[in-house]
Formats: sequence, C-alpha cells, structure tokens
Amino acid sequence: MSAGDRFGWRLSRAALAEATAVIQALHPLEPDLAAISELLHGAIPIHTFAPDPVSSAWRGLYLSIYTLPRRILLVGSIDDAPELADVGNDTTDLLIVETDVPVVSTSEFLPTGAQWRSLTEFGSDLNTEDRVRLAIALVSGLQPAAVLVMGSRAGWEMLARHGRALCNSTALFAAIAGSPDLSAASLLQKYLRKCIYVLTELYGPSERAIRRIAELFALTEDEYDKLRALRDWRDDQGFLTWPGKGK
Amino acid sequence: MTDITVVLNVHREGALARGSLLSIAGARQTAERSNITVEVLAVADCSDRATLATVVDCPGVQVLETTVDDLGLARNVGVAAAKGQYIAFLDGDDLWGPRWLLAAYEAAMAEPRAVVWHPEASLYFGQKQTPYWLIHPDIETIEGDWVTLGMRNQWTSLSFALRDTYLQVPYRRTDLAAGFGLEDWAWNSDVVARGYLHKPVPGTAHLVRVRATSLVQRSKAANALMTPSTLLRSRIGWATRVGSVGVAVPNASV
Repeated sequence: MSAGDRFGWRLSRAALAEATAVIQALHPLEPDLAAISELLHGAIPIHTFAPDPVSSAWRGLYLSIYTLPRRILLVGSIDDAPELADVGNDTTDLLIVETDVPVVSTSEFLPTGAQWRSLTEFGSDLNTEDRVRLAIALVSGLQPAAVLVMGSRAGWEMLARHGRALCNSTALFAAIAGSPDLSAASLLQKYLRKCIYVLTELYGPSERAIRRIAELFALTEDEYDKLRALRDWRDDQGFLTWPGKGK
Repeated sequence: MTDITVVLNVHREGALARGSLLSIAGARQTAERSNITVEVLAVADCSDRATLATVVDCPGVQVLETTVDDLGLARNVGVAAAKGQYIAFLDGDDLWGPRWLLAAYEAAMAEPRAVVWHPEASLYFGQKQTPYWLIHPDIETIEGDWVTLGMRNQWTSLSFALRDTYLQVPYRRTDLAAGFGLEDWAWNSDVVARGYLHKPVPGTAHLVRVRATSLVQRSKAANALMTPSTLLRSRIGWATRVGSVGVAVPNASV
C-alpha cells in the first residue's frame, strides 16, 4: 500500500460523512471509536493501492509469461550457474527465473529454446525483500508441479517462509550452490535445517560433497535419502522430469 | 422476493457485536425508506454465550447457529439460508456507514455487468491500531488491476453482490495449519477468475476493527500464504490472447 496523499488520492466528502455518522452514533458504546473521532478530519493517513515498484515488476513478469510452466527453476545468477547448460533438451514447460543479480545475465550457455526471465528486467531498483516477494508470488500463483532453487537467496527465503504451504501443490527441490552475495556454505547454514523437511530432493555437486554435508548437519536417515548428485535431476523422480512416470 | 439479505458473521465478539447490529439497523432503515426490503441473518459459528445473547436479543434478526468453525464456510451457511436477491456481508465486530445498503443496491441495479461491490474506503481502527483509511480500487483502473492480485489483496470480504455470485463461487475452508489463510484474498481472486469485476461504491465507508484474534491477523501471524486460486494459472498468456496488456477484463454477464 502507498500513502495516498503523495499520489493525490482523496477520500470523498460523502465517505468521510459516512464514517463520521457511524462514529457519532456509536462512540458512547465504543471506546475505540471515541478515540478516533477527533482525528477524523485530516489527521488519519490515507493508504491506496497506487502502483509501486514491486507490483509493477510483478505485473511485467506475469504478463511476460505466455505458457504455464510445469517446472520453475529459480537461480541467483544465470551466468554463475554453468550447470544450466546441462538442462539440454528438457526445456519444455520449464521457466528459468534469475532472482538475485542487479544486472541481467547474458545467458549465453542456456540451451536454445530455454525460456528465461530475470527479475531485474522488470525492476532495476528491486531490493532483496522485493525479490523474495516476487518469487513467492510466482510460485504460489502459478503452482507449478516442481520448483528448483539453485543459488537463489530469494528462492531459499521463499522455501523457509512458505515451503510448508507450497509443498502441498509443488514438489520442492534445491541445489547446493552459492548465490551472488552468499556462499553455498552460508546458504546451507542459514536455510538447510529450516527447509530440508519440505524438500523432495537436495542436489549436491558430488557424492563426496553430499556425505560431507550429511555429516556436517547431522542429517537423519530420511533427510540423507533426499540428497542426490545434480546429474540425478534427470532421473524419474528428479526435477527435470517431475512428476515422472506413474504420477 | 427480499431485495437484500444481510449476513452478519459472529464468532466470539461478545458485546462488540452490538455495534455491528446497530450499524446494520441504521443501514437497513436508510434502505427501507427507499422501499428496499432487507432481511438480517446472524450466523453464529461456534459462538460463546455472550455473543449469542447479543444477537438473539436483537429484534428483526434471525439467528443461525453453526459449528463449521471457519469464517468463510460460515458465510456460505448464510448465503444458503438467504432469501435476498443480493447479499451484504458484515463481520461481527465491524461497522457499516448508514448509506451502505442503499448505495450498493443502487450501484448494482445500475450496472449490467457481473460485479462485486465494495465501499469506497475502509477506516481501520482498534484498541492497538493507529487508525488509517484504505481506499478500495476499481479493477478497471491500473491500481486495481487483477494481475496485482498475485501480490496483494485489494478488497475486504465485506462485499455486496448477487446471491448467485456467492453460490457460484463459495468460500473455501481456511487451512492455517497447512500454511494457508487470507480467505478474503482467495475469494476475491476466485471471483475474478470467473469473470467478475470488483468495484467501489462511491461515497460509502466501512469501519474495520483490527483485533489480534481476527482471522486476518492470525493469518499474518502464521505467515500464511493465500489459499491457492486458479486466477493466475487460468489467465496465463492473457496479453497474447486478448491482444492487450491493459487492465481490461472480460465482461461476464449476470
């Protein structure tokens, strides 16, 4: 919401008169109303839904998407994620969204035909919280079958805040990778414990790295079972083929 | 046929419901002076004795007790029992301005398209709430654009519309335990997905009380997401299909 006065929105006299009438009639019964009756003519702020940078960015992002993606990959910086070249031919119904960087990636190594967007394309002044809100709106609004968070701080934050709700309709995946402003280790420290229970699979760079992470975070057997090497993302239960056969 | 059924949803508001009933009586009187017929249903969902006593003692109010234990589903109970052509919702601790029913009815009668009506503005108040006004946007303007429902809710649940609207698009249960809440946001999105418009009635106001125990506040405290709606999925590619990225929405006929 925005402060209306800055944009010239005004409350009509008739609406103000309506509120005044209610307050005059009911304030003897309602101590909460008595307290505001003196403020009513001018001292109460007016909020409106004037366009702001985040809602404008959301509008641009949403309207730029022409087909419903079955899978969304949230990546901090496309140019810092060479693993994305390995998406290969699995680009059907896949939308790659770059979430964290203030400069749009060149995306040279993405396979031909891969659909991608960068949040920065839709708002040059977006802050970290704005980017989290956009990631949440995208995933909760489009309800894809699967989401993969790869080196995306906005994506991890989305998982931490709303993973419990999102996993009702979307299989949630994450990959161990650094974001533009946090190392992979820092992201894991910050988010792994909060998020592991909502993840379907967590991809690591290698079996050795996976074992190390399991030890470091004292993962339970069930949690350890969710760890895979990134090359497994094309397996039957993996992100790139989700929902897989028989689902 | 009754013109308007007022559905007052009460839970455990106790004496606060008295103010709501008085504001209904004021709005009813104004409407009836213009020959608009009004019935009032108080839907008491898992209510305590103090709240029940408040609504039962009020003349001209029919009380329906239910145990659905969900504000949205309790609204559906009221709609099912209503005899009115139009429904006007009020929650048991909120207040209407005296012209609300008359002005909303006149606006609805003059508009051939399928519309859900809202007040021009809501004044938020409460014991621990610094008061502020919120101006409700028109969906046919940029600030009320349906696309932004993906980011924020733009209208309260104290709406006015044809009874058929609420039958076609009933409220769904709020599942806070699963991380979902904000039933008004979900309903406002669902109804747009069915082709309805949201519009304000000029010159009207509601007073919305903010309490820590309200469903909106509990949803915020639980960090809940909006209950999933089909709106954004069903309208993907909208710009290509309608050849515009403007704010126009389809005209659904009543």
